[in-house]
Amino acid sequence: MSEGTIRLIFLLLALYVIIMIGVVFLVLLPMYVPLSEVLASNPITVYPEGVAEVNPTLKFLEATIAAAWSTHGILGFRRFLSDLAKTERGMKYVNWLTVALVVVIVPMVIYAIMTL
Amino acid sequence: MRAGRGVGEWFRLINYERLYFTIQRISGLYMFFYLIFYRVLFDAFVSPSLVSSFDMTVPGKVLAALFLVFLAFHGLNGFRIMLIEFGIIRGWPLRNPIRNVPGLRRSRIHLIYNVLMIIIAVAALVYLPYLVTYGAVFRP
Repeated sequence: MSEGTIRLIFLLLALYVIIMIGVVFLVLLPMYVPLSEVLASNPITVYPEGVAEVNPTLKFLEATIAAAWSTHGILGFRRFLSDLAKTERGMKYVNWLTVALVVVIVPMVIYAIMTL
Repeated sequence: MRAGRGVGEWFRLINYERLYFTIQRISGLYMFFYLIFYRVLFDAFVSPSLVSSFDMTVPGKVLAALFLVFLAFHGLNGFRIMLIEFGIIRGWPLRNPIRNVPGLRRSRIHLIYNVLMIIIAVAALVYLPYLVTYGAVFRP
């Protein structure tokens, strides 16, 4: 996969996360709970546990956000590691580590959200 | 040192785009480790009760407040980067032997976005730690 494609995926995932977190906090949650209550609560307790308690179906949406967010994070970590890698061989290791992290962490994150 | 910026030359080391880049990287790394190791690994797989009780302590609240402030800045600056990369924010550089100005510095939209971003980031710097410290626990 070319660097440009990876960059595009990286940015699109970030855009999805930014938009969907806004949608969850400002559109979906106020359908069940007053907005003032959402904005006066500790955000760490709102997402993801609070959202899942309000409506368990929202867990599916949360899982997609978490998957996109963690993939974005892993690709960002790859960018950080690629600044440290000085050789082609080093970059190959970084790419393998990235694939391994995606394979391990993304299902784990989805599982963690779905079992809330 | 290039001439032509007057008193601005004194602050040449303070390049705000480089500063944004540094904070973006540091915040990204912090959020990566906080979310993956603390929120996912510990909270979901090791001991949720331990994490919940640690969240209520001062160090837990500091970590959470730092995470939220970093998240706000990372999101705002990331959106700025996206607008630049997708060609929505753009400007033509001023090529001048004395006073070179990069393209982004000449973009009015970029300037407006920067001002808004700084205002929102400062508000987040105050509001989010306040919410973490004094905000109610969300239990619908």
